[in-house]
Amino acid sequence: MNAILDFAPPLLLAALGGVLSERAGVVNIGLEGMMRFGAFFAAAGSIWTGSPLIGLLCGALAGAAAAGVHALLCLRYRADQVVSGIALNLVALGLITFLLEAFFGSSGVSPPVPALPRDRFGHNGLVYFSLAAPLVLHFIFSRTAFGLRIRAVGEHPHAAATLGVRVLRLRAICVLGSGALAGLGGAGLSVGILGQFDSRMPAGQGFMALAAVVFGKWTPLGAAGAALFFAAADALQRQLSFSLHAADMRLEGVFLALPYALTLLVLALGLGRTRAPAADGIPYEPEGR
Amino acid sequence: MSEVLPQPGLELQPRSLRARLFSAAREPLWAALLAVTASLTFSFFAILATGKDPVAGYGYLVSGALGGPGPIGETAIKGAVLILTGLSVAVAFVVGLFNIGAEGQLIWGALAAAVAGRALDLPAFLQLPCCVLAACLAGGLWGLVPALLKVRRGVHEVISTILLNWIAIHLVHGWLVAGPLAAGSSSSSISVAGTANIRASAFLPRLLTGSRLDLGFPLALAVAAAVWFLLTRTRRGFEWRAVGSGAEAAYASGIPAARRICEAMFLSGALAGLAGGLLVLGTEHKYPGVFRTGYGFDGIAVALIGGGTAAGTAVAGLFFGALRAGATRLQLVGIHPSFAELIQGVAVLLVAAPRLFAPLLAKLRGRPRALAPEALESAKP
Amino acid sequence: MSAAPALELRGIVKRFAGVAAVDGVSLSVNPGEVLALVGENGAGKSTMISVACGLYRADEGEVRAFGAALPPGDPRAAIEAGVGVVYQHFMLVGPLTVWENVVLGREPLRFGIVVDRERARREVAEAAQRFGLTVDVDARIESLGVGAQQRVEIVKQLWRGARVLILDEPTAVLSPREADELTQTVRALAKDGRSVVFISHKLREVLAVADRVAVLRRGKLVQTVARAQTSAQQLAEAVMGTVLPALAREATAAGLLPAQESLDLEEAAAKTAPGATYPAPRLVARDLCCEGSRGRPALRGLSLAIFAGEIVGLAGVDGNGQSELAEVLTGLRAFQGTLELDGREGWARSPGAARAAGVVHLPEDRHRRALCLPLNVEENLSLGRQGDPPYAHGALIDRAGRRKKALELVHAFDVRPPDPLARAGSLSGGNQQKLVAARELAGGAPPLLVVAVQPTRGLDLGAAAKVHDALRTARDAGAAVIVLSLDLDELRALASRIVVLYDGRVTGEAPPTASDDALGRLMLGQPPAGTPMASKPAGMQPRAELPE
Repeated sequence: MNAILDFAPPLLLAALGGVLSERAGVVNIGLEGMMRFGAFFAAAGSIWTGSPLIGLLCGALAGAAAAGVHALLCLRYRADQVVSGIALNLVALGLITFLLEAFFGSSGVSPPVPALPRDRFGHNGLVYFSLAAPLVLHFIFSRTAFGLRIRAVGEHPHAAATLGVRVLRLRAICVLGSGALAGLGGAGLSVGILGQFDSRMPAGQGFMALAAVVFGKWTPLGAAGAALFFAAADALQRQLSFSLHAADMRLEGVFLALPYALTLLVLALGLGRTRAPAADGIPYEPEGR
Repeated sequence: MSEVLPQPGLELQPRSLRARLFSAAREPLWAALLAVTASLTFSFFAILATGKDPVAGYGYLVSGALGGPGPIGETAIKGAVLILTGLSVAVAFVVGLFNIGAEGQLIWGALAAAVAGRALDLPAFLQLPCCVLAACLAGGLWGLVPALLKVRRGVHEVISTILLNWIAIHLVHGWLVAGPLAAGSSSSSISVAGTANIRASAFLPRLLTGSRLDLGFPLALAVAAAVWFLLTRTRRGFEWRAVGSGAEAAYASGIPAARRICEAMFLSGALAGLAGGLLVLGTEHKYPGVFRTGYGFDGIAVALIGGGTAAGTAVAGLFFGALRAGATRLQLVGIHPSFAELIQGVAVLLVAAPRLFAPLLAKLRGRPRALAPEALESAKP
Repeated sequence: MSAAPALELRGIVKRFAGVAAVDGVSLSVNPGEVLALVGENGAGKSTMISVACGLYRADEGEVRAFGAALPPGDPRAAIEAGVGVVYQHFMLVGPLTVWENVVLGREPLRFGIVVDRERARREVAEAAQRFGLTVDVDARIESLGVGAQQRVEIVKQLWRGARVLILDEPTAVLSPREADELTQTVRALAKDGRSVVFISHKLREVLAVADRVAVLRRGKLVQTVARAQTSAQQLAEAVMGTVLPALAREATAAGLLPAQESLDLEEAAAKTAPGATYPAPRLVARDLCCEGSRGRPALRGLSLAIFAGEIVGLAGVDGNGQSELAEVLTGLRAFQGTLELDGREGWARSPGAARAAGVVHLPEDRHRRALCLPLNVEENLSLGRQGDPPYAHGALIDRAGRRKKALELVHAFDVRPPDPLARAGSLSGGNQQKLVAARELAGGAPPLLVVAVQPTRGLDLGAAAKVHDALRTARDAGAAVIVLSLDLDELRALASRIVVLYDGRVTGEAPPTASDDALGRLMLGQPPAGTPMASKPAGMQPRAELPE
């Protein structure tokens, strides 16, 4: 249980970022890249300032900055959202390794990062933040004017526009927020869990977050539940792998593939109402004809 | 342009060189060139900003890619794989699907080649073709899954191929290669070994001494030519393009669109699988325990920069192959080889937004409307 | 009435890629007045609305509400000034509830950020009640029928304090009862001192509701007249203009001629084409049944016979099974019943089979169903015959043969630009339709059956004439031609007899000389009566199916 709580925040926060962006109608394949930016700059910020909290802030800002590129290309230049996300992942892969070498002279790992303060249960603040975040996002979506507008913009942007909602601005805000959440998730990997940046981060967590978004049917609580479930599967696999190793059974891969396979199964069988927001991925043209 | 002149008055309007050079059809080409140039410039200044020597770096990049038979061989090997994964993505584009799953298809192709290369024991002239076929088949089947999910269940292929990538990565790396198919005695706990070596009769023959250049490179070029022919000259290729550019119109005109999508996705997967096969049969000679390729993801970049055409993809594949090969020498100036990914990523970012370059290209094109007044009739955004 | 007009548009010009959709139009509507805006499709009505409500920025001219100029391209300002639009395609967010849709963008708040649900629901219910509009404020939009959705749209504008309400083709989707209710609602709004701009191309319904009528034609204002000083006939002439005298004359003549109905198929055919003999029908449909796209029955036992060498017009109020019939005939929709082409069955099981049997299709939605817009003209011309000579040599494309044939077709049908390498998507709508007509009617072997759905919708007159000529040529070459159109005048101009659909069945048929009233009764599903019912205008025919 503790292991789940410790390992869940990055996945959870990135999944929420995915929900935020996609509910506003912008596909975010770049979560992986945004997490990587977040993970690196959180570590770098912590090392330079000596404060892990400022590090987390740096991580969120770096994720938002990467998302800013996505927003600029997709919203201003009407780029294909999937292509832009993929490109962002590639840039993150190359640029962060390059920066890691430039700043810390190593292509593998960064120096250790000052640790986040922990409470008496051994959890850091990020754990509590990531547990509260889905509730906050759920509240925003269901109760606030801002959330109502996000839902409208993701489903039928032209309808929202006729009522004076500024579609592109709202989408930009959501994409930036998505990047900040993913960046914070990445920060959770480096500053929160490992205590240093590893050049392999986030090792597919961004894509798993994407799966959690789909598995959770594009809702904050659903995605959070899926992320926790995936984190639990991961924790179980870690536990089991010791005993399985002893019996010489190498089954980690099966467990690791399970979240993706389940998500695919849910999609294939059409279980429940798994429907993406209607305008997800479709560029908005103000004078669309 | 006007190769047929049936009767006077029916020939096409000749166009000026400038209008042809910058015509709308060539826009992807110019966008790609501009994007790559801009990306190389950006990266140049990125190296400069970190206090390293960009001129030397770029020098190593070139010498590592083209300086002698060894580097040229590396460029060719990497280029061949990138051409194939790029074609994989491009073929899926043709029927309107975005195949993010080339990586997963490549992995299955590589595994199939490794298994077949070990398990089969055929005469030499059959062993290699059978291994190549096994790789194509495995990749093709994995590529068929998202196509079936799309046409039967309406599952968007971007999501399903991402999921299938990770299923493939974890199943193969975390289970099959580490467990049931691992080489060596079963009591050994070494997991980095990978599968057992394939038989020598399944090796792709090397073509040059002093270089790892193997038969895979000419094979990839031949495949690219075949794909070009298929897409532009055959009825089936036309039907694929029709489905990709208007599935409903194609269906209403009698083309079985769902079937065509599945066919194209099988070919797409087979091409990625073949790429994996080349890696195993040409250089690795087994499925290695640690197999970080990224070629499948890079294939997306190759196809995008290549404008989705077979010829463009082949050129882009070679270019990025050279970049990858050259980047290994960047370590001499203290830059990690993944710098190639950066150049590639920035170029794709720029190509992703065609409207970035639209104003510039419009200026270069001049005023084609003055050259072809009847085009005014067709003015529509 | 002496104060400033509620809404005033002055000298509006709006161009798309250099082509003026609206060209110097000035309009105004006073408080308490209902202004009807009529014109054919493509006349510029929708563009005017989008300019009026700030969605488009006009290239020239200005919009004023209650005397004050509105900033161009600012929907918010138009809403603030009290200008509300109910679009033809409703601007409602399906998964949201009624009250959420109504208050979106102007939500009543608590604590500055939280939506005050109770207040919102109460206010929305009150706004609806005030004008007698019944809606369930908590229902999801996607669970409502079209009539209810339209009421939500009106409530939405009223709740926002709209004092000028623009209704874009509001009756196109309504059942007769709902249309009557809408007329009452509009009159009630006018009585309340609000202004209504009522857009339609149904002239008689316009006369029933409007105080004044403005006529647009090809982006220009033709006339503005008080209702008392005009008639349906005069409006029709204004809408169509005098550019196409033949069509206009036929239409006018048709309205003046007495009803001559005939339900006897053979007799009608013989009457309209004297001297011709028909050995056996080309197409026979018996008891056709099929489902519509929403799973409800669309065809309910339709029977029909069409002969080679004739053009038959299929008339009916939109949504009475016409689209589905066209899809069944072209193999796009599954059906029950008997369908014979020259005595053979089984040819309509798929689009490919229907095409192979000699059926060609000019579909309703050419962008979706007929053209691959990114492909070029010659590729589109070969679509559907890509495996046959002269387009192919076995499995290979015959590039020279295709080019030659494409140049022929392009010139024969006057497709502009006459460039086989131009992208289909870069052609204008009229040229795209000429392209489709060229391919379907002249691209290969002469067709046995032509199914043309709204073949000239949105086309300019030249292109429309070209398409009509091509259909006549196909008929003369021995094809059976079915034209489905909502435009009775088009059917009169083309067809030798008009078959009327209602509720998925044939209610009867009439010669093209039949009056609007006679056809109108058939379109209403009423058996032909001895006396013409002058009070039932043909333009206001109800939809057969009541929305749920």
